[in-house]
Amino acid sequence: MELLHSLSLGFSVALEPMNLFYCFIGVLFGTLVGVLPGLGSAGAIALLLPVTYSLSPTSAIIMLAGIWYGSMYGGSTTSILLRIPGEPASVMTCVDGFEMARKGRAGAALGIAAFGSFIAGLLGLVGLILLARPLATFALDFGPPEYFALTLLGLTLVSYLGSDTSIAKALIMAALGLLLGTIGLDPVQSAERFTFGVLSLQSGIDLVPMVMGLFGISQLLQLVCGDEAPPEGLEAPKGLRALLPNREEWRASAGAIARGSFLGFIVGLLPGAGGTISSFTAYAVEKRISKHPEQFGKGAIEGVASPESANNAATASGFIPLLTMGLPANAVMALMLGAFMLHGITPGPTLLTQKPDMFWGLIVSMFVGNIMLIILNVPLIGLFAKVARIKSIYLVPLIAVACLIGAYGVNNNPTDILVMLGFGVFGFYAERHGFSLAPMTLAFVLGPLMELSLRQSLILSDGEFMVFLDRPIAATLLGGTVVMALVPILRFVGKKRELRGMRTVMRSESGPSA
Amino acid sequence: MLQEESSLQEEPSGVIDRGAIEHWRRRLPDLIVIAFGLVALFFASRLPFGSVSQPDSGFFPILICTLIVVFGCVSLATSRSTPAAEPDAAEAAPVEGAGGQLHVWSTVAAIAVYTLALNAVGFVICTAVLVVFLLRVIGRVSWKVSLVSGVVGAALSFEVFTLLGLPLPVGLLHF
Repeated sequence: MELLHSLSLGFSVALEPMNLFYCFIGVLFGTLVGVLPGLGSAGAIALLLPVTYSLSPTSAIIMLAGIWYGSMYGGSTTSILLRIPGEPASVMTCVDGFEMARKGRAGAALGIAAFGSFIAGLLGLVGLILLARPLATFALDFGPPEYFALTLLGLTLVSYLGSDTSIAKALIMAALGLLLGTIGLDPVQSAERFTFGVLSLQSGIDLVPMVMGLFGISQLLQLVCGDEAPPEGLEAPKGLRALLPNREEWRASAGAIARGSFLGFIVGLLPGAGGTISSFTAYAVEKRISKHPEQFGKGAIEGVASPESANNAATASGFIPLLTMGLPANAVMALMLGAFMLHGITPGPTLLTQKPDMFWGLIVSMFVGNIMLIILNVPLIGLFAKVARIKSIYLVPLIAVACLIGAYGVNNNPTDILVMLGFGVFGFYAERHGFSLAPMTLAFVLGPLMELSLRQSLILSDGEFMVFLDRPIAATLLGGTVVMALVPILRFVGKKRELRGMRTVMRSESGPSA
Repeated sequence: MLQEESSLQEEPSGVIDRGAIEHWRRRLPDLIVIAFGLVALFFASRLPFGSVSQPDSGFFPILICTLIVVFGCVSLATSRSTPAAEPDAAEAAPVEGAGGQLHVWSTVAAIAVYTLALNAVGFVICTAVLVVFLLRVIGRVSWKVSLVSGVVGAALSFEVFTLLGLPLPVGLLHF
């Protein structure tokens, strides 16, 4: 009964005309962002953060959330028609999606991607609704040791799972983010730290110019640096009939959609995992259990249905740690946390009780948004395919102006633009040298909470580190962190032993002949 | 014979030089991180550390700066021991076009000039000039398209951002 009451509250909020409008703007913009390879969802959310100042907090979060899950729909269009993933989470869709398109089944691929995303999105939301209240209740028992252990686990997972190249580099970026978060006034003693006498640094570095620089300006610099011809690829099928898979394809996809949704939901809960890893995992599992694994990579419809379902389910479950515990699971959720904070709201276990209209309004808006997306994506696929062919240089002025005015709008101060530019240059070169930006963003947002929790825990326990092990939840979370930290070390040691063994064998084989 | 020998003698040193440059180029980011960590640790150490039971404002920063130095050393060591495991920075970076770094720094300079001129000259003119620069100079789009895009883009942005309630500097010409 309580759940029904909450859902009806959610519907009353989500169906308000302004919220419906901003939900539509969010999903439309998100689809375009997903379609355009030159602009990521994190960059798009960073660009629109300042725009949300003039909106109500609920409308702002609804719109930004729409961009996030909308981009998952859009990413599949370019993957299937152009073999270019619009979003990292659509990389696996390129593999079989483009092959299906080459064989004249582009419509079926696009259709199953859209319908699979829709079904997975709804299933993910059901999971979110069922888990939100129990998790929020569970999180009410969290004290400083639990929050410290949770933030440490979150940052470790983001660094280990979310890094494409070196874990050490990801950890460096996480530490750098934590350090940047200490600039300004100490949260306990209010002492100045790393301000160097600059008055504006007393309040710390503003999140908006920083993320706009890291994600917006750095992306802009990547676009001006590259020299790409407009992508060729295949034409989009015309008409709704052309987009419907046949009965056999539906039958083949049903299991893949269900499995992809489940896997995507679980993986999406993990900090650092998100849509990309969930789509990779779902694809790998689907191929492993398939009766015809040799078909994967040659146009197997399961190879489209599974990763697309997984990445959409992951976008729903990614909200769970943020809304129930105040812990962002990835860079996009860190930006969403920033958006909440800009509006003076702290997500966490009390959000459900203190702001039930916002909480349930957001969840129901995601249902509504998924319906809007399936309506938008099916007839407008041809248009989106044309948009994907726009030369990226035309995006450059758009991104530049949006970033510049967004940064200026924070404090009406041109200095914020220079701060954004500095972070943009840093982000551009950092990524080129294998340093991932997600751990840094997450660490910057979580750093103050992490420090406060650590210091409070030590003060309360009079300096006893056992406080983290005496409490079962904190001990479990710390245990998870240790396991995550040990796995790559053990793998590294194992590889060294293997190399040493191989060298010994080679020496003994070449020895007698010499 | 003597010429061949001398060319053979020259080639190994040329190879070593290129190899040495490449060796340090790959390790430069890690060295910069370690240097930065040490500098940050120096400034952090000037803050009061407190004690484990009463951590003061320097406690967390000193811990983090130490971790930066440690992780930097680990990154340097692991890239030395397993060079194949880490993609080379040049290979990992996207393919650069003809403009490459020149375009990057031209764009950065253009944005910096835009920022400095913004309050004095105003949003509309600065934005129009920036858009024209980005399209014509960086993107090599035709003058006609660049100019039209600049003017229309600046005007549209002005309207959109004003409607959204974002403050825009008006400058000398009051628009």
